[in-house]
Amino acid sequence: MNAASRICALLLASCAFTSAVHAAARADLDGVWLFYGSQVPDDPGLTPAGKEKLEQYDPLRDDADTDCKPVTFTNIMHTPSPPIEIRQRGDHVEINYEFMDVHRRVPLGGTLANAPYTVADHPHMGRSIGRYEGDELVIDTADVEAGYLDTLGLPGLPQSAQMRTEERFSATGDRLRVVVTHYDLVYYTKPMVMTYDFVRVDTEIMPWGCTLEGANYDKRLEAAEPASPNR
Amino acid sequence: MKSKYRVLLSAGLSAGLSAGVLLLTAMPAAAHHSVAVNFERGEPIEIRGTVKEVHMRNPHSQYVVTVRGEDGTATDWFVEWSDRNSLVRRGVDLDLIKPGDTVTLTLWPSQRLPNVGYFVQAVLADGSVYRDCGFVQYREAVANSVKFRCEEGTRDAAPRATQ
Repeated sequence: MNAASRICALLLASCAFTSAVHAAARADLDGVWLFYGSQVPDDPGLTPAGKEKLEQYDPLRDDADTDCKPVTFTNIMHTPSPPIEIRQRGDHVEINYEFMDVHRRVPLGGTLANAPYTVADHPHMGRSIGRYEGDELVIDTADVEAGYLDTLGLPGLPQSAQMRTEERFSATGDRLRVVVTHYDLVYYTKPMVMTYDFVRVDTEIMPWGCTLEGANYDKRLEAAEPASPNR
Repeated sequence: MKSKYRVLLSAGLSAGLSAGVLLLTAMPAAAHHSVAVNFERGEPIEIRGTVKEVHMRNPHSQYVVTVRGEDGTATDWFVEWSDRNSLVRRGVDLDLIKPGDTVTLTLWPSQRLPNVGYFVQAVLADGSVYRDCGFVQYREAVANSVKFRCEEGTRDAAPRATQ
């Protein structure tokens, strides 16, 4: 073997080793995960505009889920029963949320300014890019639609179109933790952090097939027969 | 408005029923929107009627149950339940309640809407008690690698002790 061949062989071995290490670091996140609890702030630190927006929240009018429109990734993760699936690919990560059939494809690398909308049929959920920091998957998101961030865990928390979100995914064995930090100076005086825990589950993501009849019958009932004031 | 219909408040419920309710108070927001926000989980109510419609679907399943008042007036109650996928995953038999069945349902009443409630349990015509063991039991089984089976959600449901 001449010198050039040795260098090539060393380079290939080095690449193979690096890839193996990288794959090992990423492998823990792959799988299907079931919600196991969350930690939300006692005081989300709302600005006066945030408090006003919260006070205006009407679950029958402002919960986009009732129109089969997923609210936000934060809200989906607060929906306890439907699991999420993470699949790490070479140049992107797929996150499939059973709830509302949300299939998210997050590219690895690039800049947020040029990031794509990651849920093709729901651009209101924003544009994202991902990267790894050690064995953590970090996803940054921007360009979300103004409205409500959460209609389930802390119903009525608002979000502005300026909000940026950072999600950090890390796994230890069969436990997954996702730490979500929301940066939105329009509605929050400080970064608002929510932490979600998941447990690995041996199941597959099932089709959701949201039906308007299933999602908003209470809204339609309300419209048809307003509740009596003494109820 | 509730007084028009045959609604029995929890004070009159049997001990067996109370035990069932206690089991289910640990149930989290199983539907896409918050059960805690939309339903009064403190005082369950009971209705007895004929099943008119069954919709096992996402994000909410629903029974429509026709309840006759003492004056003979028929009123439809809309009973929300968990999403179909979760019930399937927890092994609940989706066909156990069918249109035409006479059932006694225990519900958490809606905080805003009349004649709307969240399913807690059903007593079927043969006296068996039918319910979903709930997300928490399922989740704990998963977390502890224990095979999960909710007998109360199947045809093996235990007969009710008292009627």
